[in-house]
Amino acid sequence: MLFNSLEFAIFLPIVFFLFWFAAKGRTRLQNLILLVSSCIFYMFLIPEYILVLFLAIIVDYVAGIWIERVSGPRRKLLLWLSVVTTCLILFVFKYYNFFIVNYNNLASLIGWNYSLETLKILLPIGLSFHTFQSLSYVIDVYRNEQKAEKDFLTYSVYVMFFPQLVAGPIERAASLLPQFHAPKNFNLTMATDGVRQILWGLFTKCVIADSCALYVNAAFQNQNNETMGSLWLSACLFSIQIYGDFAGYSNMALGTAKLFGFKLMKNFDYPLFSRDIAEFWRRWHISLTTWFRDYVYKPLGGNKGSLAKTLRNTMIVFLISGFWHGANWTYVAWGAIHAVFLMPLLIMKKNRRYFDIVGSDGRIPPLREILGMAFTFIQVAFALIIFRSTDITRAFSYISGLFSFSKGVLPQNVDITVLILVIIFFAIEWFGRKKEHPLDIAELAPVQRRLIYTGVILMLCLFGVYNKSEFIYFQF
Amino acid sequence: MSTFLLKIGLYLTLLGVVHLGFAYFSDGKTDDFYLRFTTKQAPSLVVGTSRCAQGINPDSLQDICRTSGHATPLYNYAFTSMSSPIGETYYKAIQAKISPDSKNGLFILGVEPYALGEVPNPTSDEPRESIGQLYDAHFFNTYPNFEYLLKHYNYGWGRMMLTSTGLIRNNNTLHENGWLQIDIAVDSITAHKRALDIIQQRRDDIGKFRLSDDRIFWLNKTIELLKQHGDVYLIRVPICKEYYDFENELVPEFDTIVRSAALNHQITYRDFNDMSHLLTFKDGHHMQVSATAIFSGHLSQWLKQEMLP
Repeated sequence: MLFNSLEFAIFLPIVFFLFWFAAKGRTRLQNLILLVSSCIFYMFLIPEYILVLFLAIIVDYVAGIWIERVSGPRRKLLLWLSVVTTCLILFVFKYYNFFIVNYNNLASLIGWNYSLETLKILLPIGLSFHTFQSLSYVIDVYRNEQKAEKDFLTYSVYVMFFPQLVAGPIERAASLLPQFHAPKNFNLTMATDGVRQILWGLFTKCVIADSCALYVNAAFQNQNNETMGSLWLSACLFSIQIYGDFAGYSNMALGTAKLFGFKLMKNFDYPLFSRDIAEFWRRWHISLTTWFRDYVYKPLGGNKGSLAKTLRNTMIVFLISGFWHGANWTYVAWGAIHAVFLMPLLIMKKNRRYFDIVGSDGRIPPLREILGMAFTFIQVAFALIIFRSTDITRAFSYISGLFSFSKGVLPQNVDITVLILVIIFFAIEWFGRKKEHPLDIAELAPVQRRLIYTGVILMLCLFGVYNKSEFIYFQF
Repeated sequence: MSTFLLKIGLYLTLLGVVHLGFAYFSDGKTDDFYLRFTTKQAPSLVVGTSRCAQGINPDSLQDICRTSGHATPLYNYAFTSMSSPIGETYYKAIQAKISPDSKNGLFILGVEPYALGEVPNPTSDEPRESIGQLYDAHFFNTYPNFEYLLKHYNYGWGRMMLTSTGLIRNNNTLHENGWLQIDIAVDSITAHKRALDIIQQRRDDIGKFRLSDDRIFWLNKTIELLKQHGDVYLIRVPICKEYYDFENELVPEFDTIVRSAALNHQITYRDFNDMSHLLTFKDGHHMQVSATAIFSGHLSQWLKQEMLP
C-alpha cells in the first residue's frame, strides 16, 4: 500500500479508530491491531512475501533470546547464525541474480562456456530496511546494549510497524521497543503535528517529487538527444525529486506514527542546505547513516587509527552503503564517489565544521557558506546521475552530455510551473529549517495556521501528481 | 480527541467538496480521452485507433452525413491501438456509445495491422487493452465522469481548472465532436526521423507479431453491430510511405483479410494510402493538423461519391 494512495486514505482512519476506540487502554490489543494492520498494509503489494518477513522475524526473535541466555563462544556463534540467516534472505532476493549475471559475464569473457541460471523472483518491498532493523536488534542484544524482547507480538510489531515497514526510518530497538510496552494515551498536540507532517510529506512527494519526475524521466530516457542545459536541469531536478520523494515518505511515516502516539527518529534534517558533503551525510537518510556508523564504521576502527585507516573505513562504508541501495554497479559507483568527495575534508580535518543548521543565528549566511551549499548540491546532483542511470555506460554518456555543446545549450521543454513549485518548496524549507519539519507551525495563530493548511491543500489539488508512482526507496 | 476528529473531518469534507467542484472544470483539455467518456450517445461514429482519432475531424463529414440521410451528429470515438484495438472491450464500448434507437447511422471503421494483431506478451494472458481506459469502464456517457477521473486522471483535480482556463498549457485538445487535435510543430526532418525510429522499434518485434484470429472474429462482430445501426465503411487511414511499406511487409495478407471481411458483410473497403503524398505526419503515422483537414475533406468527397447518385 502506498501512503499517497486512496487505499491508504481509507486504511489509516480505520486503523486509527480501532487503535484508539476498540482497543483503548489495552496495550497488547493495540499492538495486535498494529501488527494485523501492518500485515494487511504489506500484503497489498505481494502477499506471499509476508512469509519471508516472518521467517526473518522468527529467526531474530529466537536468536535474541538465546544470545541473552548464553555466554562465551556460543553467544558469538548464535550472533553469527542470526546475522548470516538474515543476510542470506537479503542475498537471495536482492543480490543473487547480480552475482550470477556478473559471473556469467565474466565466464563468457574468459571463454568458459558454463553459465548459471538467474532466479525469477522479485525483491520483497523494503527488505533491506527491515533486515537492517533486525540486525541492529540482535547486535545490540549481543553487545548487552538491549534486552532481548521476550514477547513475540511486541517483537513482531517492532519489525513490522507499518509506518516505517517499507522504507524506514531504520529504528533502533532501544528507541522503539519501549514505546510498544508503554500504555498509550491520545496526545492531541502530537496527533495534530502528525497530521501536519503527513500533509507536508504528501506535498513534497506529490507536488514536488512527482512533478520533477515528469521532466527527469523524459530527460534521462532521451538523454542522447537532450541539450546540455536540459541535462544539467534534469540532474538538479532529480536531486530535488529524490529528496522530495524520500523525505516526503519519511515525513508521512513519522506523522502516521505520531497519530498512534509513537515517535520515530528523524530521517532528514534539511540536507539540501548542507555546506559541505560531510554535513550532507549528517542530514541525509540519518537512520541509515547512523546505522553504518554504529555497526560498520566503528567496528572497523572508525577514525581511531591512522588517517589511511580512516580513509579506508570511509571507503568501505560508502561502498557497502551503495551496494545496500541496489544490486547494480551504478549504486556502488555512487557510494564510491561520495567517499571520494568526503576524503579531502577528512584529510584536511574539516569534516566536522558544520553541525548547526545554516543561518541558525537568524542572520543571512556568509557568501562562503552560500557557495558551499551550492557546491554541495552540485556534488550530490552529480553523484545522483550515476545513481539514477540504468548502467555505468549510460551514466558516462549522460555526464559527457553535461559538457557537450553539440545538441544545444539552453534547457528545452521546461515546465515553468515545476520551477516555480521548486522555488516555493525551497523557500518553505528555508524558513522552516530550524524545526522538525517545515509545517511545524503550532506557535502561529489559528487563522494563520488555517491559511497555511488551506494553501498547502490547494497546492495538492492544483499541482499534485497522483500517478500511483511508488516511492523511489521502496525498491531498496 | 473529539476536537481533533471534528477538525480533521471538517477539513476532509471541505477537501472532498472542493475536489468534486473541480470536476466540473473537466473538458477536452483534461486528457486525450476523458471527453469520450462524458459525451452523449451518438447515432453515427468514427471507430478506430489514434490514426482515426487524430486524422478524422467529424466536422468535415457532418454535411455529407446529413445530406445522405444519415443521422447526425457523427462522433469520433477512436482511441489508440493500445486502448481500442478491435476486440471485445472496444466492441462493448461502441455498443455503449451508439444511440440504441439509431438505425440510419454512418459508421467509419478504421483498420490497421496493429488493431488486428498482437505481439504476444509472455508475462501476461490479459489482452493489451487491459491497461487502457475502456477495459474497466462502466460509465461511458456521464458528465462529470467520476469513475474515469478516479481511475485514470493522474493529477490533483484542481489541475483541470488550470488546463481549462489555459493557466497550464496543454497542446492536446479533445474536441466536442471527438476529434483529437495535437498541436506539435514538427519539421519534416524530425517527423521523418521519428517515423524511422518507430518503424525500427516495431521491426524489432517483427518476428513475434501476428494477426489475431480473436481480433478478426471481433472485427466481424463489430461490423455486424454497426450494420444493425446503419451503413458501415471500412477504411485504412493514410500513413507515410515508409511506414506503409513496413506494415505491408509485416502483414502482407492484411489487405486480403480486410477485403474479404468487407465482402462478406457487403460493405465497402477503401485504402487511402494512395493519397499519403498529399499529407504531412507528426511521426509517420499520425497526421499533422493541416493534413487532417485535407484528409477529412477527401474522405467526405469519397463518401459523397459512394453514397449519392
